[in-house]
Amino acid sequence: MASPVTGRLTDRERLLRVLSQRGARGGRIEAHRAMLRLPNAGRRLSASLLLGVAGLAGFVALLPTLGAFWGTLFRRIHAALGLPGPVVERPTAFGPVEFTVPTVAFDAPVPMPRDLAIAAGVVAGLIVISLALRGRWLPAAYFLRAVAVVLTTAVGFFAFWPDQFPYRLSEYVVGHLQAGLVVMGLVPLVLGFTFYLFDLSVLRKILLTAMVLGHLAIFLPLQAMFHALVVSQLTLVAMPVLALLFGILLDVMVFVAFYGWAMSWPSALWEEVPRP
Amino acid sequence: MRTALLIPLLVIVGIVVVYTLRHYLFTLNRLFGTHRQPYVDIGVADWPHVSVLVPAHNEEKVIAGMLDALLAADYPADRLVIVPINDRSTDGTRAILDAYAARHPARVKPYHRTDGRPGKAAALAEAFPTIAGEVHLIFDADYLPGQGLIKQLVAPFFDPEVGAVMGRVVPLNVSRSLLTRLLDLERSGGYQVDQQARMNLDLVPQYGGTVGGVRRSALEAVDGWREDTLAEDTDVTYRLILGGWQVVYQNRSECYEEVPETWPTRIRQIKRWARGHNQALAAYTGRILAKPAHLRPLVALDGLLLLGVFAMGPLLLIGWGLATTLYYLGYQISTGILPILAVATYSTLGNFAAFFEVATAARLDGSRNRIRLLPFLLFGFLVSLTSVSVATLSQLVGRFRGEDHTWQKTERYRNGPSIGGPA
Repeated sequence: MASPVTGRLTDRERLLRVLSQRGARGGRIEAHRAMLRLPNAGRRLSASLLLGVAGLAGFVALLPTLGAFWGTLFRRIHAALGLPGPVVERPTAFGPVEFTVPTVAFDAPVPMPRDLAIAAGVVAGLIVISLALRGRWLPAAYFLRAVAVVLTTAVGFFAFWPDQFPYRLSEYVVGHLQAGLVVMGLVPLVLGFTFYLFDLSVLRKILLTAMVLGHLAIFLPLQAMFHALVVSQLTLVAMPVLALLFGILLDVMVFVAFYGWAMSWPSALWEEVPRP
Repeated sequence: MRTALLIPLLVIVGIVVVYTLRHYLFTLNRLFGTHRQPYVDIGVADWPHVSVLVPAHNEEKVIAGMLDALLAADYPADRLVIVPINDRSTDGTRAILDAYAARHPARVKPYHRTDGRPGKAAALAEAFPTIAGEVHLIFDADYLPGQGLIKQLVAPFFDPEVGAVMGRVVPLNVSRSLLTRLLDLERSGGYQVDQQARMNLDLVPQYGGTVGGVRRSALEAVDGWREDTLAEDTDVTYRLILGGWQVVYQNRSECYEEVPETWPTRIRQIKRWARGHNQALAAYTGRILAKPAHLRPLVALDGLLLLGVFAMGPLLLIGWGLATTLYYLGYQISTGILPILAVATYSTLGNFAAFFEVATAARLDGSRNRIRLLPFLLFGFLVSLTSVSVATLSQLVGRFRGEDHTWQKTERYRNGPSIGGPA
């Protein structure tokens, strides 16, 4: 088996692989893809879960630092955007660890009839564009229609119950960051159940985990501040679309993109071994 | 109010979690489990008489390539008869078939349909009584079988309990567009992992209507092909399972097909699949729940979950509707339901092979670069989810109105009958 740390075959393993695949007249006998499988199920599963749990523990231990980093990032972006009010820290907990996450201290305006009319116009525009998109752009048309549907529910809600919208911007930002923390906490565990099983070095596994968490650690507060900026400018009618379609779902897509990339990394077990 | 919405949402999330676990366990089994590929390497035997049926409706672009591939098959020529079923074609299909029959009168025996109900199921039902052979293999007209495929697909029938065999479908026009690449990923997950795991675990591998076949006596014992279904493959799978027959999947037995290259064609295809699958769901859920003595509990459970895959589309839409309503009622996004639904939904739509399953399958296939398209599956899933839901809704409305279903042919893309066509 390849080295668990570097993922590379030793010289002896490489020679054995070549000999075991040598056919008549020196030809190579490749395993059919229908026959490929992974050896050492028990060891791989237990090692993967251990690494996943270790990753989660490391993430939890870094939460106070992450909260402080987010606070710093928030204050800088907040100042650069010229948003009103201060950045405030909200106490939160993730399991046994208590720390703070930042949020804004201003409320977004409730949409007026004029705002709702503009939003309705945007819905109409989205539908028109989606109907005009043909051929290979059809999936984009479906996505635009999904945006239009959610925006329609927002317009309808604020048209009938403008005072009953249950979210304030400051609470929304906290909720978004907390949900993001849940996603981040799940990253090492999900990778432990899926990615760590494969024949890649521990270094690569740790690297992927660090890249995903590092990306989300920066992306989540930027995303939250962007949402806050958009909602403060476009009123609360924009919040449902951002929350339901460009919130956690987008974060999960980021994770899947990294996962798909890492799953394309070469494996010592199934790769063709060059002749010595 | 909140509770009234939360309970059905939790039920839907629960069902999604069951499917997610199923995909995960299947993938683990495919990676680590012992593979069952019965008799796949038999080369010399007293091979049974086989008829290869090729339903063809306006297939002039592809049928010649298919017939050439079958004529080149490594199978005793005196025991293999090719029966192209010309299903009311209005193009040059009939002329091509007649030309092949003239050149190979003992091996190619076309069956011409000029009227009757449209569709593959009706064509097979009509032709079946007239076709000899102990084993009937069925291929779509756009497929390109390799030389050894017929033997590989026939070999499992040496086991007298086997009623149907299914091989693996591999797209050949993968590099045509983003859609074909995404469909290749989905097919890979569905066959390389899902079907093989169900085979390994002795559950319900599905006979898929092409690149496979049935034992004639088994089919007769379960009342033959039915012409009133849009998914004769799913229909036959369940009747065979309920009748005590085994269905075998052979992962090594690969055959190459054209997948849809345009989204409208893909939408029509998946709508037809959804309607056909829903027919089977309505027809066989009760019979599986009644659980005949020979059906093991796990087989019954897998059978039910397989029947329900296309019902998940509308169910997930309802779940999103409930989740959105709860959002407006103040159910905080950070409390868990929405993230769970988002994650679970993202990983279970489309052809319902989860991301882990798809990525694993593509990795096993050596399609490393293609795995990077994984996040784009979301767009394919969105189209599938909507199409399946629309198809299900229209099917319910049509049933209420007493309307009959319609069959729509999948578009072909190959250029002309030039692949080894008749001189």
